[in-house]
Amino acid sequence: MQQLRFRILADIVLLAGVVFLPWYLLLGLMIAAGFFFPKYYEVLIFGVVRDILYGYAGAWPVFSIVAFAVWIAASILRTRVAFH
Amino acid sequence: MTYLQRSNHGRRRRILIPFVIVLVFSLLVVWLHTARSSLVSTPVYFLAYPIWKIEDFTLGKLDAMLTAFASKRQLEEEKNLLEQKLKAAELAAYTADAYRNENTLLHAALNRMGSDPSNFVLAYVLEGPPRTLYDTFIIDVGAKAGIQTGMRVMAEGVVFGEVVEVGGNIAKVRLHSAPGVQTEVLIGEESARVMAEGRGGGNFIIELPKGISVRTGEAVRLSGEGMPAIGIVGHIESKPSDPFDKVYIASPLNIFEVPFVMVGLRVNE
Repeated sequence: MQQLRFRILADIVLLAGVVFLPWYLLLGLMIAAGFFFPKYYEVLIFGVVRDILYGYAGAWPVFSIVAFAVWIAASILRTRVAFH
Repeated sequence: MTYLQRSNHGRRRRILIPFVIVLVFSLLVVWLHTARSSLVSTPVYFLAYPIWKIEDFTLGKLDAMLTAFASKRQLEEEKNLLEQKLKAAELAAYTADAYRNENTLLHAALNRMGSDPSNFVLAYVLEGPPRTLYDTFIIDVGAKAGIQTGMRVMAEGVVFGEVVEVGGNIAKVRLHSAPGVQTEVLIGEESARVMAEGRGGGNFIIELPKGISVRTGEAVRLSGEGMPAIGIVGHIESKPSDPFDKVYIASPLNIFEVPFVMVGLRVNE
C-alpha cells in the first residue's frame, strides 16, 4: 500500500514534470522511477506526452524512444540487479 | 507415473504482451514522427495549459521577490539585454532604411501584410528551448486569436520560426534553426537563393558554391519578397579542395531568452 501511494505520488510529480521540467531533469527522474518501481509502464506515457507537447512532425520522438529504452532496460535489469 | 501436461497459455501470454507493447509503441513513434493528429494533441495542450500558466505566474512572483536581493544578477541581465539590442541594431544597419522603404512601397502596392503592427499578434512565450529539447516554442495565443499553421514568428525584426500546431489558447512554433529543417534563404550581394539547414539553438549552416561572395556580418534573409532577416553570417569555412564553402549563420537573437514574439505573415502569402 505504501509502495502504491509512493508510486501515485511519483506519477503526479512526473506528469507535472513532463509539462514544465527541463528535459535533462525529466530524463533523470524517468530513469530513476523506471528502475525504482516494478513494471513502470507509466514512463512510456510520459515520453509520448512530452513528445506530443514539444515535438513536431518530422522530428524523431526522442523522449518516447528513450522512455521505451528505459522501460526495456528496467524490465531486464531490475530482476538481475540487487541493491545492498 | 503420469505427468500433467504443462499449459502453454501463460508462456504464450508472457511473450505476447511485450510483443504487442513493442508493436503499438513502434506505430506510435512512427505516428509522432510523420503525421500528428490534433485530436490527440489538443486534449494534451488543454491539460498542460493551466500548468504552464501557474508556472509562469509563480516564476513571475518569485522573480519579483528576488529582484530586490539580486542587484548583481540584475546588472548582468541588463548587460545581456543591451548586448542583444546592440546585435539587433547591427542587423538593422545591414538591412538598412532602403530595404524598409522599398518593402513598404511594395507591400502597399500589392496590398499585402507589411510592417503594419496590426497585422501581427503579440504572444508570450510559455515554454522554449533549451528546456524543451526540441527547437520549439509554446506561445500563449492560438486559434481563438486567429493563429493558423504556417504563420511566421518574429522577434526584434528577426524571423525565427513558423507555427506548426495550433490549439485553442496556445500554438507550437518550430524554429527555422531546428536540427535538419531546411529553409530557403537569400544570401550575398547577388541575393543567391540557397537552402539553410538548421543546426539547433538559432544556428544554421549553408553550403555555398565558391563563386558567390559572402562576408562575415552580412544579413541572411528569408527567401520571398519583403522577408526579414533570419540571421547574420558568423563564420565562413573555405577549403581549396572543396568546391563549396561552409557558411555558418547565427541568429542575432538569443532564442533562449525571448519573452515575447510577434506572429503574422503567412508563408507564401
